[in-house]
Amino acid sequence: MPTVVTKSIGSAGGRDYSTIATWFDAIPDDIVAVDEEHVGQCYNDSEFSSASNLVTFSGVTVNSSHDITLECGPGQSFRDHANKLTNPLRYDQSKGVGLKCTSAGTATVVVSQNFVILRGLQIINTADGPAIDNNQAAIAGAEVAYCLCESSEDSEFTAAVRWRSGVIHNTLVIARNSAAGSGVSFSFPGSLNVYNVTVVRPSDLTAAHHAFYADSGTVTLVNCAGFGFTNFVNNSSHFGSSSSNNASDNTIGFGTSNQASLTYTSQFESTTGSGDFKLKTGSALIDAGTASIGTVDIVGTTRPAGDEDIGAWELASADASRDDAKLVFRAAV
Amino acid sequence: MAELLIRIIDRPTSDGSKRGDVIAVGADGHGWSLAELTNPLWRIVRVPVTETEVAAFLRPRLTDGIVQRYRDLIVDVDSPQVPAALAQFIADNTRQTPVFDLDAATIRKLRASRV
Repeated sequence: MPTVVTKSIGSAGGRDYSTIATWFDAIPDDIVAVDEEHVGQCYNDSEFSSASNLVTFSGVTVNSSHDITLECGPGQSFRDHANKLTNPLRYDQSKGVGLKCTSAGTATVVVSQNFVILRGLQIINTADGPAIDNNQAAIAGAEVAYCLCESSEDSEFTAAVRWRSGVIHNTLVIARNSAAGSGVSFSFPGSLNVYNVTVVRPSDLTAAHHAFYADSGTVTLVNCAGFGFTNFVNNSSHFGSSSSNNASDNTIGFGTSNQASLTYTSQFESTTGSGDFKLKTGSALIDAGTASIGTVDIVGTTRPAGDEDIGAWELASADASRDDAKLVFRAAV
Repeated sequence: MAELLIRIIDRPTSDGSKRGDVIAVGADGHGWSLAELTNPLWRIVRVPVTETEVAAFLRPRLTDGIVQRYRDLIVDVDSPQVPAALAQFIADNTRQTPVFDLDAATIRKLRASRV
């Protein structure tokens, strides 16, 4: 069993590291040889902000049982906030750990090696660059989970988030460039599975490019939502026939059990300005999903088996009231 | 003013961090942790230039989004132009002096592309 080495990261006195980059740089060259897993826990002492790339994951020897996780310390994530069910669903560092890059041409977080897991983080690039950039072909063990990403990237190919291999799930991606840019790109993927990812461009911006982009290969999209773009995907042939239960304001030319050509503004609490991309009552995405990865949504709400909502958010109140109604009905019977 | 935390020992992998790579940049008086102030992997220099100017040191060299070099630009700590006092500071693995003050002209002179 590897030894789990957990370090705190934050600007307050007493943390192990003041920056994410120094935490990663201090990890031994070969954590397989020293039989260790490394966990960096971010504390929301202040925003992690840089006029350049905030951290590059590259050059450490890892394997499936010796991985590297960047997450939040206890109580530090937007997922831990006392008002997480009512807070607007968008980047807001006052609600939990936030990673910000303010410079064009670089990603806030670059992942260029296998077995890196990003969990429970808010990641933003306020300039023309992706929030996360992973363009490695064969890092199937990399994972983005329960993250909230925003970017003003204007590229069709690089997109607000580029995630070429590995898994991405239960994550919200907001593309904020006013005129261009895709949401999530899987440039030249081999085989990639994507679950419960919501990708949006606010409805008061010009619709452009694609919610999901792939150059080749086979991406399986399950329970994913894409709104505010010109197309749901750039080319249906790159998205697998086992895709299902996706939703969009555009047509969806692949997979089964989709919710297509929906009215954008009817699905989310607020789709303009900063936005609030929680599902709202009456959304067609509610209960329209299928069983997929994980049992909880982006903020930790349990997904009822067989009644999952499409996208990153599970509308707890709707399920609760529906379940209550079922109980009342059963009691009456 | 800005403070640069510089790595001085190579990782063995080609895309890992190397001697001369700037790992992190902080404002003057940045609250470095004890590990950051004492780990022999690193040295910290303070320079009278803006954080924005030195932020360029933090960019990886990418080809199609894949890291080729951990940093594109380095502080060439092995250059013949390194002042003797800086060389001595870099050679001191005990890190007795936590932060070394370097003038703007020298940091600009030592800025180089990673080979």
